[in-house]
Parts: sequence; structure tokens; C-alpha cells
Amino acid sequence: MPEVLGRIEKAMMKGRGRWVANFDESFREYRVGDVTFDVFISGNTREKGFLISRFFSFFLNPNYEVGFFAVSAGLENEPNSRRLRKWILAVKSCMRKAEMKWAWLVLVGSTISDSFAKQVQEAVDQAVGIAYVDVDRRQVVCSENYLGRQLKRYLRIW
Amino acid sequence: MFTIQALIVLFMPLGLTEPIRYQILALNVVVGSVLGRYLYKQWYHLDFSYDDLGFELRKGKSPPVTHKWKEFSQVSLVRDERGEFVVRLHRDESRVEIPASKLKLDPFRFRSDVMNLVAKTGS
Repeated sequence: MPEVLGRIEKAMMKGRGRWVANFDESFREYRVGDVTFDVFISGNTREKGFLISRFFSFFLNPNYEVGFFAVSAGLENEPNSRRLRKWILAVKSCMRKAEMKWAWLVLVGSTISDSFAKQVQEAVDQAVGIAYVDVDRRQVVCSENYLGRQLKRYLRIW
Repeated sequence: MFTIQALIVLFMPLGLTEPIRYQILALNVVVGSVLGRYLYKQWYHLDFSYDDLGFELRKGKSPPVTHKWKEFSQVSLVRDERGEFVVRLHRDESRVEIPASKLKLDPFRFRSDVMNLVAKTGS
């Protein structure tokens, strides 16, 4: 799982998510209250670039602060509804503090149970996209809101 | 110097510069290399060294910047507009950056080394 987390972080930092946001600062072992996220990457929806891309980005893209959180949901951090709620609350608290408009939460774990997959898919918060990366089955389960559906595209790590 | 040379060549009769054009080219290459190297060493060359206690970073001929790992509480990895990575060390109100890509270091591995050093000396 640490290897998968490392791969996700590298992909995001090297521009995998650039069609949504420019993720440019990455923290490991990032603490929010009593929750520790393995990876937190902050970014902005206004893509930087050279002359023309900078010009279009300035006039067309919203200037939103965004965040990407990833946490290992392994044996000692086994995912359940209580823990999922705790992670989402930690993400929301960080969003409030840093004035972020959108955030993505990625859980990396082994075989996902059907009930937990349903909880991930039915997550209702429109400002937080959630995805569960099942390392054993090599599949990604995403929340069905707009941000969750976007996430699926950026988590092709195999 | 190059402007003066260009003006001299421009206003001189072609007959005078034609026989020595290869010598002029060679002179330009030599002067350009020496001047380029001097300017690089003076302003851009990076010297970086670190151990278990701290690090020293020197850019060009400016005085070296020295810090102890224990001064910092958090470490992050930042990608700048040119796609180059720097390791950013955070303390209360300020931050210090180590240009990992310019130093030809693997930024992800170097960041974890720095995180370990900060954690080790901070505790």
C-alpha cells in the first residue's frame, strides 16, 4: 500500500490531475486533528503556464483552492462507516481552514466489502470526491458525485 | 562586448573582416565560454552539503545559508512553474527551500530523507 500511495502522489505531483487543478505542494504524514493523512497535496484550479495558457487560465478558470488527501486503509486502519465519517470531517475541517472549494479523498486498501463500497458510492457531499483504491482487485470505487467521477480518470495507476 | 564587436564587424569593410572570420568566431567561442563559466560560478552554481544535524546551501558567491534540521516542524515537496521540485522546510512563520531538482537529487527520496532527519532531531 505505501508503494501505491507513493505512485498516486507522484502521478498527481507530475501533473496527472492538471485538467482539474494544478497540484503543487505535497505533504506526507499530514495531521488534521487526530487524523493523519498519508498524503496531502494542495493545489489551485488556475493552471499556471506560459503566455497563452496563463492568459486563458486567468480568464476562463475559477480561482479555487483545492486539496487531495490520500490515506492507507489497511489492517490497522480498516475502513468502516465511522472511520469514513471521521476522514471526511477531517477533510472538511482542513477545507474550511485553507478556504478550499473542492477536495478529493482517496482511500487505499485491500479487498473492499460490498457494504463499504456502497457507502463510498453514496457519499453525498458535493464538495468532496471520494475514491477507494482496491489494491488486491486493482479496481477503483468512486463516489457518484461530479468530483468522484472525475477522480476515476486520475487514479489509473496500474 | 558582443555589441561592440558586432558594430565593428558591421561597419568595417567586408574585405578586412573576411580573411579573419574564423578567428573572430573562435575568439567569440572562447570569450563566451570563459564569461559564461565565470557568471555561472558567480551567480548560479549551487553547493549543498548536509549531515544528521543540519545543512548548508550556497548559491554562487553569496554567503552560505546554514540551518539545523531541528529548526523546522514540517517538510513538503513543491513543484514550481517549470516543473522543477524543491523541498520546502516550514517553521513558525517562515520557510526555507532546497532546490532538489537543480541539485540533481531524486526529489521524492530526498524529501523522505529530510523528513526522517527533521523527525529524528526534532524529537
